[in-house]
Amino acid sequence: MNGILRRVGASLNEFFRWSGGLFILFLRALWVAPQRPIGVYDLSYQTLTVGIRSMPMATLMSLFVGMILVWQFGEALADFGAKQSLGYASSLALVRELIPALLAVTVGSKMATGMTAELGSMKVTEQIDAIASLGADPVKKLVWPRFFAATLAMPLLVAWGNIMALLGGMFISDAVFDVPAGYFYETYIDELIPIHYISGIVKATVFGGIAGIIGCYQGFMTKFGTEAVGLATTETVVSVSIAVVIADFALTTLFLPI
Amino acid sequence: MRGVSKSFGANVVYQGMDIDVYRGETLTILGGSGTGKSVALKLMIGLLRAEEGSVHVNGEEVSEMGAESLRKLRQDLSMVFQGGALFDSMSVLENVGYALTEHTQMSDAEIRDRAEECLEMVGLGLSENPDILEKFPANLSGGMRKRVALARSIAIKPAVILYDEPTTGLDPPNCDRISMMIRHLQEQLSVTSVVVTHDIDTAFHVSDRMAMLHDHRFPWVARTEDFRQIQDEVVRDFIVRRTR
Repeated sequence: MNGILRRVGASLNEFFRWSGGLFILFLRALWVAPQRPIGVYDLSYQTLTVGIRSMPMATLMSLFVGMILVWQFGEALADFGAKQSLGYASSLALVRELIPALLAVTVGSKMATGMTAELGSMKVTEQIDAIASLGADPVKKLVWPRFFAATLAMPLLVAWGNIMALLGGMFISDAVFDVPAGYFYETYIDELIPIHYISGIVKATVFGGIAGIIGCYQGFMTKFGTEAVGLATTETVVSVSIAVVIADFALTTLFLPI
Repeated sequence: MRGVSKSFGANVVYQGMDIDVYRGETLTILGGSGTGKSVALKLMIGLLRAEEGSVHVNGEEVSEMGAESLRKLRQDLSMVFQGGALFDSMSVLENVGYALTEHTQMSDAEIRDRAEECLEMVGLGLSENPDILEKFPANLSGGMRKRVALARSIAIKPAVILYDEPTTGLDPPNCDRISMMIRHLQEQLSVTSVVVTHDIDTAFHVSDRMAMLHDHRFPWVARTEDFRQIQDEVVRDFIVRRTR
């Protein structure tokens, strides 16, 4: 019993230490953001790199999620003779929940692990120390541009993902259930009001920020040795997935009553 | 440094350690692998903070410095890392000009001129290496990487250069080349140098004074010629084993 309690205590201690470190890095990133030089090149380079690299995955994921969900809903609605409501039924789930959450877990994890691997390698080869020793702030040079890029790119990817999911849904609706694509589109859009888009985009922004800061923090905390980089990236996937699910629950609680 | 203590978890590196570095000299810190020689350099440049004791550079306490003071300190103190620590995503020109971009208002053309000048000093002049400025670290040999790192560290004309294992992993001709370069830079630029190494040949070649790390302190600090005469078993073992 004593041993179990000790292990639980050690795990809690580790969790609070990790969360505290993450939060401090987040605050430091915000603190250095307005300091000159602004680093427009770094910000735009990271945003373009993160965004463009994630486009194929976001496109594929969203297209297929849209098709799968509409197919599943279609089967259920057809049993009740309600397949004309396919657009109404699928739009909310996709725009408010599935596209932001799925893209955060997949594309967000991919972004974060990329950052962890890159910064972890830099840590192992002392490049982060070299930046500091040359008088630059590693948080300003490395963390802030990546955090900014992930926070900005994720809502844009989710907006793109929504279009792809809609297209996927239109295809299945027309091809499988004989519900005309144009009709599916009209009912899909008709169901949505501005707050649904807003909640999806706010979620995506938060998830992007979470992926960005966790990716950078894990990179900075990488221990020495090449094995450590692999370990850090694995931990990043787990951390991002858990953090996104918890944040999703919190944001859903916030937005659903509106 | 006075009464400095530093540990990483249960691993004690320094305990009440004292050492002085005098302006214009080359001091070499000797010691076995993994004993924490590099930690002394990182304490001097403020990358690590001492848990106890004080680290003074030009009369100012490093561990009490804020971000801006550290930034200014690092214009005077420059460090050459063990593996070079060149930025992979940047060309040689961007690497060498990094500190100039950060700290000065120099134009791109001026930075390029200064980078060429520094590369010339470390034996990587454009006459023999015409495309060196555009190359990336991945395309350089180990020796070239160390020399580019050296060029990067002198670009801002620091008063002090800290060398972390400058010859580790290099073949004998490259070791000699780097050693000569350290000596040459000290004579040419009058910089103060602190060299961390376990390579005794390099140490004897570049040093004015030598210090040996043992038991979390520097019990032996002496001028190079006097250091050779130390009869303590630990020092003798270190010197003899390395030169056999």
